[in-house]
Amino acid sequence: MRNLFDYFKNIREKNNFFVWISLVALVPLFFISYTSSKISEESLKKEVINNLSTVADEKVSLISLFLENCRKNIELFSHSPTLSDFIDASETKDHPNDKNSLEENNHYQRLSSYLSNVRDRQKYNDIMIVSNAGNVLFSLKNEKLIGRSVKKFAPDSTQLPIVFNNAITLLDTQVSDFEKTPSYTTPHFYMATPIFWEGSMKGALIFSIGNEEVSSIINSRIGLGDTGEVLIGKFDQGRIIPQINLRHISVEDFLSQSQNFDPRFLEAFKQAAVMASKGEGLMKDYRKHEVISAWQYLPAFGWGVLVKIDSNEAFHPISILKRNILLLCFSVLLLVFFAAYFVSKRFQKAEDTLTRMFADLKLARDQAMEADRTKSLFLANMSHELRTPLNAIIGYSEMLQEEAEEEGLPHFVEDLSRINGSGKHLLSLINDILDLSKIESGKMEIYLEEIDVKEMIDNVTSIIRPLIDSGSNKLKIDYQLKEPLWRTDVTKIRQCLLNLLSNANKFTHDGMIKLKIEQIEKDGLKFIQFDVIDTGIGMTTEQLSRLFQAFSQADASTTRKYGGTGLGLLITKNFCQLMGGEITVKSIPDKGTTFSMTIPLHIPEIEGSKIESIQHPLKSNSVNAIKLLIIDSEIKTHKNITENMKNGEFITRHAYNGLDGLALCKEETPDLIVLGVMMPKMDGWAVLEKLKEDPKLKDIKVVMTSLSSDDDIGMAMGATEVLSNPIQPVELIEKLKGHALGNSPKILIVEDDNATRDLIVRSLKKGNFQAMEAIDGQEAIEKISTVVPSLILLDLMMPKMDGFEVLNRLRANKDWCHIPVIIITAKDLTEDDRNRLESATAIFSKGKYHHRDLLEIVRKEIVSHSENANEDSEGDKNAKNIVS
Amino acid sequence: MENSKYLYVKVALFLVVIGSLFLFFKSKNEQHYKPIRVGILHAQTGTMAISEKSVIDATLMAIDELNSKGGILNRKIEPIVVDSRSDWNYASKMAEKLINEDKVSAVFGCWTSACRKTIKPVFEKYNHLLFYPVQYEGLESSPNIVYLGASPNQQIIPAVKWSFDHLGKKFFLVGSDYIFPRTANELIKKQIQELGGEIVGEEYIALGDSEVSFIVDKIKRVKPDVILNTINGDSNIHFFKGLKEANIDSSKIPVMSFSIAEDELRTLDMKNMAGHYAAWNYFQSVNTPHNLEFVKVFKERFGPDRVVDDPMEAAYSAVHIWAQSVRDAKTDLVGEVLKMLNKQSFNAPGGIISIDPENQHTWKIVRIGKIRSDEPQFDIVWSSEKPIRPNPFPMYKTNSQWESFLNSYYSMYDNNWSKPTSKEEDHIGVAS
Repeated sequence: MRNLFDYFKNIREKNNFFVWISLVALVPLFFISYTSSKISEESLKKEVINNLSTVADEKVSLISLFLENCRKNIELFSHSPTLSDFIDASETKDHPNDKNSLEENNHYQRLSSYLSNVRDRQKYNDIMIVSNAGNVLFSLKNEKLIGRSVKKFAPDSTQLPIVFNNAITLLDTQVSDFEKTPSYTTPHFYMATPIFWEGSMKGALIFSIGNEEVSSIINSRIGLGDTGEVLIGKFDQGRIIPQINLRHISVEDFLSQSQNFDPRFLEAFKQAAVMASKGEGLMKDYRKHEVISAWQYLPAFGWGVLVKIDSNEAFHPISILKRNILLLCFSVLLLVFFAAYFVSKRFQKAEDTLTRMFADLKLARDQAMEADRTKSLFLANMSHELRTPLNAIIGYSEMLQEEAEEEGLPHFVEDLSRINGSGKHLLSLINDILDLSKIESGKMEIYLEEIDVKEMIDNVTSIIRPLIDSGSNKLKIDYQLKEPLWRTDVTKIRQCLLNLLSNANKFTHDGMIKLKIEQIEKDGLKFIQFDVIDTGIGMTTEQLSRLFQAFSQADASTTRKYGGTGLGLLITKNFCQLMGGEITVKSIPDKGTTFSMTIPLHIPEIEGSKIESIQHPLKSNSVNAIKLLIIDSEIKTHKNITENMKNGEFITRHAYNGLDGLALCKEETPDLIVLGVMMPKMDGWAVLEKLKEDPKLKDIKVVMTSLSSDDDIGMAMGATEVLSNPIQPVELIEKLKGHALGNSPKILIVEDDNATRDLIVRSLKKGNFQAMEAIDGQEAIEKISTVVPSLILLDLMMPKMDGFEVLNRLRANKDWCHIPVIIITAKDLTEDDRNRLESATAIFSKGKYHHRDLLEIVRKEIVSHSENANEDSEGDKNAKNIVS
Repeated sequence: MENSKYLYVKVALFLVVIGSLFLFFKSKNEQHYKPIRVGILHAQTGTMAISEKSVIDATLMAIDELNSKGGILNRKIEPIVVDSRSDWNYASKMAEKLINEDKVSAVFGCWTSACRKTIKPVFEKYNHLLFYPVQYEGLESSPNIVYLGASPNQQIIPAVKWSFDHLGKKFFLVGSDYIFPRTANELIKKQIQELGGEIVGEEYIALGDSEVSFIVDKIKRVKPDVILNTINGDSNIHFFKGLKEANIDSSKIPVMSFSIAEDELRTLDMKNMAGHYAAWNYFQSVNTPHNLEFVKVFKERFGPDRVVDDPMEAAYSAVHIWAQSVRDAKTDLVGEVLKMLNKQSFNAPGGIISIDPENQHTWKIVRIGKIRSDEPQFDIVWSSEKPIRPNPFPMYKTNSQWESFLNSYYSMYDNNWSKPTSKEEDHIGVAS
């Protein structure tokens, strides 16, 4: 079966139309031919059998009719007065043989001539009259029998005594079996009937009848063709005993061969003669010829009748029919083959063309895909190659700017800020172009995550506010959402909002910019609508129509005046559409413009977009926050510190005297304590002393603020640092952060671009970190194997071994797998890339971050990581302490 | 690749559809048509119920045999059993109902000659078909009745001859006063006269009459060699009891009965019966494998204490003879079935039987049995070996002579086929 299947598959693959067309045509053809020949064979067989059965019926009824005729004759004669007169006359005589009596002679002569007449007409062998006692009174054939008793006929005839006895016992006409006696050349049978006259039985009339009549009935072979015959006989002890001569061999030969007969033949005859049942079937006859036969019982003699004809003859028409069908089949076969050949040739031609076209198309498609891939690769490389140097430019200029400020070189500050601004502009241009190309090639993906809209708006506001301030504009936020949570692509929404807001700011001076956020319903669907309303210069209808085209602003002069890439709105529009939303604009010249961005509440999930939320570098993490306890009697100190903290960096607890502070300290076990000296109830020194006495609290770092510069006492008493009042809150916080980390942790920077690497190193050093450097993945792995860093900053695109591989190796090694890794890359990450970077802590895009943000994350990571490590190795704590 | 997979599915589906269509049409040709209905018209209540219920059993058994082999012409046979209430006028009404309302294809029924003679005109009127399973007095031949029981030359005449040869030449005839015993005795007297025997007495008692002493007294007085008994029903109990009480047993004067079979024997006292004779075509004790199987199947079905006898075997065979005719005619239409009937032979439990084409009676083997002393069974003492041709009109009178004989009794019985009983208003059917 399997092989056959494979074979057909093979044919199919070769597109062998010829075979298929042939099969489709030939299978029904063969089916029909086979069925029709079977049907006609069956019907012919039935016809033959019917014919044979009819012959058998006819023979049986002819024999019955013949016997019935004989019976009527004998019964008719038995009532003849001549007979009774003769019997009466014979009985009165003592010696029936004595024919001297004239009267009796007369009777005898008259009877004799009468019965001779009957016998000759009916072709009987003999007519006998037997007295009640069984004495033969008259015999037409053999006068010697007269006077003999039929009961003593045994050697000459066994049937005569039986038939006589039956007739006078049953008082009815009786028929004997056939028998062969010396008197006659052919077998014969007797028919006996009682002779009644005037109500009394006088004797019996017996006919001896030859088998000629039965023979002629049986041997009349009408409808039996050249080989058919009727076999009639008894079935005795497993043998067929024919009663009439056979057509093909003599009865003696038949009997001598009867041991070798086909059992089916014997069984058929047995059924007819012994079971009196009808039937028909195929068998081998006594000549070993295959015959078809029908059989039944012959009640008149209690024999079987079997009519048969050679199968060859009977089924001759079938073989002719079969031959004709075969011939027809063969001719149709040839015809079909020819037709199939020509048709398949045409089909083949068409298919070849199709195949060629298909191959061409495939090639074209492959080429197009290749080109597309090349383009994507080009873009990716471009983005990397452009962003990396830009990153260095922006980073250095920022840092130099800070240093210049610190060293009081204002004219440098201005220049550096220009460099920085130009770099950022160039970067945003590049980013916009890359975004646009991604959108156009359909590669822009959506990452849905659950966000707090309020938080996002706050974030956007904090970013945009300096810009707005610089444009002498006022920003008003009208937040009307009831449900703060929204599943959306926060990056894109933020980018859109920043675009719109900066756009609004660009064309507005001394005006008002309003951001309105509300939930609306349109066509039964829920949307979140962001309206950015300004009171700027506005646009004419003609300007509006060109609004969302690439590199177009209201007009060329606008570009010159206001700058900008002209891509922002186009990208915004595309992002909106990508998220299933839209952006509309209404504007009145000189009055202002309103951009309405409508994004569905349930953003349709685009296939392939990863729903899992991804870590975002700026997302606050309260778990990582530093627990800070401030103990100081001066409320101003508390306020100073808390006001300068960023959200989520610290969790603060406040105590206003030493006792409360100590109690709170025991309760909460803070990471850091800012401790004032002058306090009621218990002063700072006492608190410090108590803290250092308590083994649970003695490791908590304490920063003391004191009016006097008695640093040494504080340090001697176990304070970590002593600052003198008035404290600089920013400085204090930086210090606090540094203290929270412990002793300057080692950070490994893996980056192939020297400028970028140096920039990061310098930035890290500022933040009290030790920097290790590696110029590619391979070197990084080597460095890690000697010194395990607390954190790794990893570039992705590097020679020898790239960032992905480094990450894989780290995660595969059980000693390194917990090291936090922050990715810093210029690569545009695909969905796949993000999946591969799942284990990275954060991802920074080159040029898009401020180095302070980076420091922030690094710090947080190290704090949370060291906490985790402590939890992990509770048992090792003591040992570590001893070493330290 | 995907395409080629679907192609195979399509090709397979196509083949399945073609195949199922083929099978559907094929099976449609062999569809089972509605069943063939046949009527069973026997007494389930009344005097004859005791005998006829067994005949119903045998008939139903034959029908079930056929149905278990798929019926005839792929049609099941549905028997409709109707109670004749031992009342032949009612039976006549029921016969009409079976023919006209139930549209049966044949009726198997009747026990008494009176019943048969009463419903015969119904079957002739509608050219319908009745299978009659009981031996009877003969002198009848209807193209619409198939006679499965013995005609006189298949029971009475051979029995008389055998008695004459083996038991003695002085005969005493007793019988119930009905058409069958009267006719039977008419035949017997004729035969004995022709055989040169002597009839020393002939007595009749009414049905159910227990007063047999006058007969017994006469028997004691005339001392016959043989008693030929055509008494039917309960009177037999009293008759054999009377004989026993008069100290006449089978060794002294044997009784040859024509209406006592195995089923009746069960109700009689075995010690009164042992050694007496009966003439039938079939005895349960027929010792052929075919008959042993038949008896076994019957007992498995109806219980080991049940027996089979001649009318039951005839009724059983009647169903098969009819079924063969239907098969040959390829229809259950009565006209067609009738044409096929006279060609039928059947290997019955008692031996091969054949329907005679001349008179629609049955070729049967004749047997004489002697009652065993220990069980209600017979030892077969004589058999004709070969089936005997039925001759309903014995040769020593012509048909017209026989008819005038019958008519004289018909008028004597007040235009009835049995003598109206003095005790009851009802016509009561009596065995044959």
